[in-house]
Amino acid sequence: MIFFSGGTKKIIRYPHFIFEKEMKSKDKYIVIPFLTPGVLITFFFIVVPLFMAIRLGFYHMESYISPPKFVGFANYIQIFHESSFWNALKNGFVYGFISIALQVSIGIGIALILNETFKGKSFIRGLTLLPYILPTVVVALTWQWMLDGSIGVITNAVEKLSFGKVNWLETPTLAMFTVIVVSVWTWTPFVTTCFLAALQTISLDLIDAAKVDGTTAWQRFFYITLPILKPILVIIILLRGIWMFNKFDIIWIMTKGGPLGATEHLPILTYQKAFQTYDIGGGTAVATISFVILFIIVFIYLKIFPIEE
Amino acid sequence: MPKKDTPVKKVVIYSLVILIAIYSFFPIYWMFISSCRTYRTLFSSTSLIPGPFSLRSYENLLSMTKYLINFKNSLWVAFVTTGITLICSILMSYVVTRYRMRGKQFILHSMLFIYMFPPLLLAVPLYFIFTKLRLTDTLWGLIISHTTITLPLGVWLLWGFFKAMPFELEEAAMVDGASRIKAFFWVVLPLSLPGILTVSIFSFLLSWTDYTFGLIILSSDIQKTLPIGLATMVGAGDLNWGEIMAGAFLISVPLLIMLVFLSKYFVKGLTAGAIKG
Amino acid sequence: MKKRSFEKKSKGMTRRKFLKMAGTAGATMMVSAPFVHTQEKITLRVINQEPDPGTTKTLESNFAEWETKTGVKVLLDTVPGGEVFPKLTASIKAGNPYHLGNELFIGNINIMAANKWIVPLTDVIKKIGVDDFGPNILFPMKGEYWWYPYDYNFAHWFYRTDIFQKKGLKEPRTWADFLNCAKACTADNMFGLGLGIGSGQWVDWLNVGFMWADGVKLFDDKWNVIFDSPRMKPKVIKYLNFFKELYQYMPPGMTSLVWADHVKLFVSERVAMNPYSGRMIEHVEAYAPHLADKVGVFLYPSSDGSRFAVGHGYDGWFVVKTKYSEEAKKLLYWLVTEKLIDFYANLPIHYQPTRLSIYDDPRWKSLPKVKKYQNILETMKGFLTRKDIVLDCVDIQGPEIDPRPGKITRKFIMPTMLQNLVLKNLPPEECLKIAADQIREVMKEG
Repeated sequence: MIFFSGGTKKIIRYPHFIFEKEMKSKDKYIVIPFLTPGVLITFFFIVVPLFMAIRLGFYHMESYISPPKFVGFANYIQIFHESSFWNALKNGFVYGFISIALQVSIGIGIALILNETFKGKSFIRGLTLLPYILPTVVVALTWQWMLDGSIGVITNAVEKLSFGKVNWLETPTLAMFTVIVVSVWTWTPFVTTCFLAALQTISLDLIDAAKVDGTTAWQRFFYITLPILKPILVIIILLRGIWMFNKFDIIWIMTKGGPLGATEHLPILTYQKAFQTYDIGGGTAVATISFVILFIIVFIYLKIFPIEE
Repeated sequence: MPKKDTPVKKVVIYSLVILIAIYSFFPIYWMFISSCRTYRTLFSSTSLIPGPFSLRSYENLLSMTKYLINFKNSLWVAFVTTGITLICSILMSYVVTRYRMRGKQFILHSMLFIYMFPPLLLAVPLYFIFTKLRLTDTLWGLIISHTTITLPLGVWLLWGFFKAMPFELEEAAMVDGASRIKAFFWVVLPLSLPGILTVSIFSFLLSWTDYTFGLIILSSDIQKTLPIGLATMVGAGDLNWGEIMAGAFLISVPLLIMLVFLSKYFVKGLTAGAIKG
Repeated sequence: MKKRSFEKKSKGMTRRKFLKMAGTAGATMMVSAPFVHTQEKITLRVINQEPDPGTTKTLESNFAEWETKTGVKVLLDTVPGGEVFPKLTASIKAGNPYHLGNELFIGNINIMAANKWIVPLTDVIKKIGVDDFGPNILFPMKGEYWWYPYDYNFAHWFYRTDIFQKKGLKEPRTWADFLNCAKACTADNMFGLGLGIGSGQWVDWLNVGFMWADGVKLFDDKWNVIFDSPRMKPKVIKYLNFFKELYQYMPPGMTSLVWADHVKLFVSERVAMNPYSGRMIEHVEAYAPHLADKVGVFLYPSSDGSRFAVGHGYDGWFVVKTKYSEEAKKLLYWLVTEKLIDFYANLPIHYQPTRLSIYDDPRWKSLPKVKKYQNILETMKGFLTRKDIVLDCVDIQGPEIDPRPGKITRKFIMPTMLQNLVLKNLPPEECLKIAADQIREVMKEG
């Protein structure tokens, strides 16, 4: 394999390159076997493919078995000229930002409510996790069924409330709206659970002292709760952001990027190029651009909101 | 002394809680009653009351599709993925937390780095590699691709776990004469069961519910896993929403069972990722 | 990290049990999981887009019989209609191609032939007899026959005679009539009709029949694109305006409708009329027998009532160019001679025979459904030879059979035209212009 480097061989022969001198030499009989399986898998099936993916972006291939032809930056130039790329980029950001904003706000809201005392608390908490654990395909199809134009339960209910017939996945704006709503329903429990755990670390004495001091609920929320939640919030927004930007299956199953490309974002564009029109170089180029954009955003984000270790 | 909640507040809280419960649960409820409704009612009424009862959708599902084969495939892939993930991540996390070594921070930061990859970025070259190794359209190819997602997660989760476990416990065992390996197997592993269980649950979940890699790597009917099999039903000539909902419900059953008995571990896993940083 | 021993024990039990279960399950799975391709025995992979469960069972039992006869193993993959082309492409591009398959558009076949993915079946056709085949079905390209067509699928309209009677409607002869019927039937939670406008090839089969009735053509004798020429343009604009009006008499959800959904809409009584081929009757029989005597048939009317059209449709087998092409051809020959009637028996009305000798075959004539629906079958057979109807489809446009019109269907130019019209509300002239320019691009690509 072209990418196999001699570096790995060096580490095995000279373990003291990576281990510090305190280690007894017999420890290497534990450390190396322990590390090897994980490192091998990571190397061959994550690291190597990553470099290969970036490399493939500079080639043109008709299929997965035909010889690649080097074309330099031609794929990238082509992509930047395609309106479908900029459309996908815009859609990715719209989908990502709005989804995260809703997930975080609804998530915090639900967490605050679930933090109160009431009967059946642990049961309800388990229940709220339900959307998160369902397979995406189940969520997508169930919602499609509920929003079915003819006999969907939600469509009919909305119709009865005399909003008329709504074509949830038919028009460009509504399709994006629907896909965001379904995504929010599915992944908010992650936010809720994390916040709930964090809220429970806020000592009751602190709250009571604040209550005695005559603060309103809003003031308590803004000056006590929120600051404590801030570090969690930062990480959650980061993780959810990365996740939503890269999410392929939920949109694909519901709309396949349609109608007329209204919900087509970068992962879907990648899939279409690499597995439908067999523009494999173009597909990997789009995926690489997507990764680079994300990397830059995360980098800037971490500079503004550093994670305290 | 905490003040008692006023009756108004209680009513507000309970109503909100009920709303949240309905919001979370209704789609699953609807999925279930749709799957056991007669054909005619399914397409003519949206009554919220279950029934008229009919198992025709389940019968059709099992007789007209290769659902049971899909189920077997999904189970096999999920188990093997979880097994490989556990072995690799336990070993890696243990070494990383117990030994001082260069590159420790690198390994950890690279896990976050890997998390940032669009799965499709990896999928294209993986598919390319699999083509050369004749692993396309095989379950082993799928297992490998699932492991690329579950392994970083496993290392991430277990690292925090092992880090929090004090070294004194193993030291005590080693002072008593046990070797390092023995200490690992008899002291560390049993104590890290909660972490192991959490990683197992999440690995299983990620593998069982994966759609993207299955879509790309599998193509033959006999190789398909449940999510792909289910998605293939949409638009297939003679299958209707009843059968699709039946299939959807059956896929969800193992997960619902896990949620009922193991929700604590789900919560642990979710929070471990965020809180520990 | 304190652990009470009781807790440790109970967790240990759970963990050990879990691992043991996993171990045994894993071992059992390992024995039965298919994870190695054996190379010694010949295995043929077949891709099939007839989703009818009876048909797939018939094929599977045929293949089992073939294996006992010849030792060649045959694996069947069934995909939704229209998915054969993408799946075949994927299998070829991944180096693991299918060997035999069936397709529902001659346009796709022509593209495959031009790409050199399939082998000609001229010898098979000649062995059976070229003259045995009906007209307009073999579509030879460059002197070779590239598929074995096994059925005609003429698209025409089915309607509810009881509803029409109740509302005093007659079978429409003009577009004005048709609109009238659609409007009158859109009441009481029912709609006039439901035509899918998603990006798929059913649009080229079902939605555009009205255009053919009005004499629209895409190309002239020299392959010039005349879709937006001064002669054709007003006809197309008229059709687009007509379609836009029709759209309001359709239920919501038209972008996600695919192939057999058109049948389901009618059979579930959501719409009063809808187009399809014989599969409509089969579905009525299977799922809504109470409608069997309330179904009538009419053809696509032209705008002025001077002519009618029928959407031309078909299915056929093809053989992929692999090292086992000859093996696949042998299997194909057996399927379409000895086993043909068994295949037809599953959906005899939908699988309208392509060979004239079948219509006289006693085994076919004695099939119960053939006897029951004799009249409809006679009408459908008439479409083969009637001179007063237009029989057309997008992928057979042009002076001769060519892969490029097939590409028009694969690039979803017609669906996009309709989507621009009713989803984006672009003026018809612009929709037509975009479509015509896209067609020109396809022709230029070659």
